[in-house]
Amino acid sequence: MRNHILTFVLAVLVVLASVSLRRVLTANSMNVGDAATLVAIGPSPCPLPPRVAAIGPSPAPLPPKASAIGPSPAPLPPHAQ
Amino acid sequence: MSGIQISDFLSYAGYILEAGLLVYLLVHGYAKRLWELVFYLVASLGVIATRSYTLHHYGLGSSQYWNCYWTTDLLLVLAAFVVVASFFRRACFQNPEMWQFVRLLLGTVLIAITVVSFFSLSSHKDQVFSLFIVQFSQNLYFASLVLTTLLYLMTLKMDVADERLGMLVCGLGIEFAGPAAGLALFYLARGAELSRLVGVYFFPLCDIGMILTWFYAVSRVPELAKAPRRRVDAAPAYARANISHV
Repeated sequence: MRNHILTFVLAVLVVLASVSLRRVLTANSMNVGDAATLVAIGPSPCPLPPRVAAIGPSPAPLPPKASAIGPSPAPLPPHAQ
Repeated sequence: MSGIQISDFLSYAGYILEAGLLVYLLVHGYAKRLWELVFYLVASLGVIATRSYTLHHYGLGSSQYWNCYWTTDLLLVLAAFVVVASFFRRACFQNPEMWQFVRLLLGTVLIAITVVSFFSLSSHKDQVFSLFIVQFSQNLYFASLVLTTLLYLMTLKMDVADERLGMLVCGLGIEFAGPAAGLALFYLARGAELSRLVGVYFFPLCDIGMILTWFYAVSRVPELAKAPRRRVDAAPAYARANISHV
């Protein structure tokens, strides 16, 4: 029982630390899908996709910073340059 | 050479190094012993192939590419989480009770991250699934970063004899902590030229750093450290007889 409580407390601490780290390090972005401050894992020759707002009936214009982070060998779309 | 060209070069260098390490593992018969590395590398190469195909066919601004990118990112983060769990198991090889504890911890963290990611989407009811993928992927990324740090501390505390495991954990730490440090720098120097340089050079370098560290760990570092020789063996025969009476 004591081990289970200890495990639960440690798990909560890990999750709190992770969420706090994410909130601090991606604080530049108010939008959850803003590609500029999302971190992608692994080497990828493919560029990060535009922000989430671009999906849906009325796509918002892409801010210039949306492709500032991450490798992007493919050319940027016209509205992002 | 422009920044974009250097970024492309670094990205493709990481891509080629991953393929090279995978071939090395398979050719030298490490596929079974280091299955988690093979699993991660195959997942990563598969992700790159899928993203390239989708980008080529649907374009950068398409919803298909967006879904493909973040779904594959989630799969890759899950693969990395499996690698972290596997390294924990290796570290607890001689301590099954500790492994029971760690297994419960990993399961609880995964469930808690799922719950937190879901409840943080209360204001985005219309795009719950697509945004959940991003939220879950990002939260799990940082949870893996924290768990890798715990794993490294655990290997130091438990004095694990597997030297190769230590190097593999260091490689994973570069992959997770490097981009996090880059993001911290990006946050501190917002809008500055420095942040752009971090994005262009630092992130691909972290990937290359992890692969090179894994390469070194697999090819140069022995799996188990040699056990220190017992003093009794080194002592002469007459002294050994005396020691055995003590």
